[in-house]
Amino acid sequence: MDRSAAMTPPAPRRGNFVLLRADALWLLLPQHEVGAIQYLDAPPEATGAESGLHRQQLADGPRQLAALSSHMTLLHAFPTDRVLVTALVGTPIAWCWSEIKVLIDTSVQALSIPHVLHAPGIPVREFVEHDAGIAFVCDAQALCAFAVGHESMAR
Amino acid sequence: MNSGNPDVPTARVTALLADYARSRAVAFAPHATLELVERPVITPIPGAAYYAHGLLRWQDRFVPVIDLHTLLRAHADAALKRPRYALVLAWQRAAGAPLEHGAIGLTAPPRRLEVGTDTVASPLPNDSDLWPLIANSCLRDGDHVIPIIDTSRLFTSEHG
Repeated sequence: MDRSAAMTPPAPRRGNFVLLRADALWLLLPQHEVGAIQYLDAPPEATGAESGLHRQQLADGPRQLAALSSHMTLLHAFPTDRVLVTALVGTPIAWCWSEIKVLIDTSVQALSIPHVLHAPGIPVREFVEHDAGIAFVCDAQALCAFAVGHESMAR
Repeated sequence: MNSGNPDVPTARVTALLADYARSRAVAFAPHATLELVERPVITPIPGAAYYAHGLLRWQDRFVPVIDLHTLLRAHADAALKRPRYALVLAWQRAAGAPLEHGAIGLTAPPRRLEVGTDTVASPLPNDSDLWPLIANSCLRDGDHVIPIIDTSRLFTSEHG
């Protein structure tokens, strides 16, 4: 990595994005990685006190729900404000959010997270500034791998 | 250099001391310290280094904020406490290179120490393997040995 370019802003990216909020954590994902938004009518029937995954029974079978903390880890107690649900491409879990904003044909200026803050396995390397503060640029696979992997290590 | 000659006054400069833990301080050159931010609003970063507080908006940029005590101990507390102050520091990768910025979290404002050739001390402390990576030399303030931090090395060294 060329660390001399650590804080040099790359060219803005234009496209469709989704801002997802979990507690104080904002994430920015490409829109094509985020499924349609559903509304969670009722909290999950079974909470995953051990796994961090929660179960919901649907007409076509059960599904697993996950709710992230502000540290991008799985919450064992399902928060009442996570009423918005999306699939994320390539992950077998339905993810629950407090707030979602869809950004269509938007230019975003991503900045690199300074290298001194990196740790092995860090799931985010860039961030953008938006109305409510900082959102971390992420992809669905990295999000799922970090959240589920962190849970596995914690057990 | 005038040490040993009582007729020549000792040249004195000022260093800024920052307490990073109880009875433990580090020194910075005043020109490397830019601003003390009280009650900084810091955004934590998921999966970041164990000593990372996060990102602080400062002027027209975002600067990394780290916890020096945690870094020196080389292990994390369950959760870092939000610092009461952030001391914004400047550094350069090389002479002539543009200034870059970082910050350390503090629980109290820094203080000043008059430094002369009689204040320059002794080898680096041996309570952390990191000292040689981030400091070149030390000052002495009474019984306390105070490493002088090289801000460039603090923010560019591999801290693992």
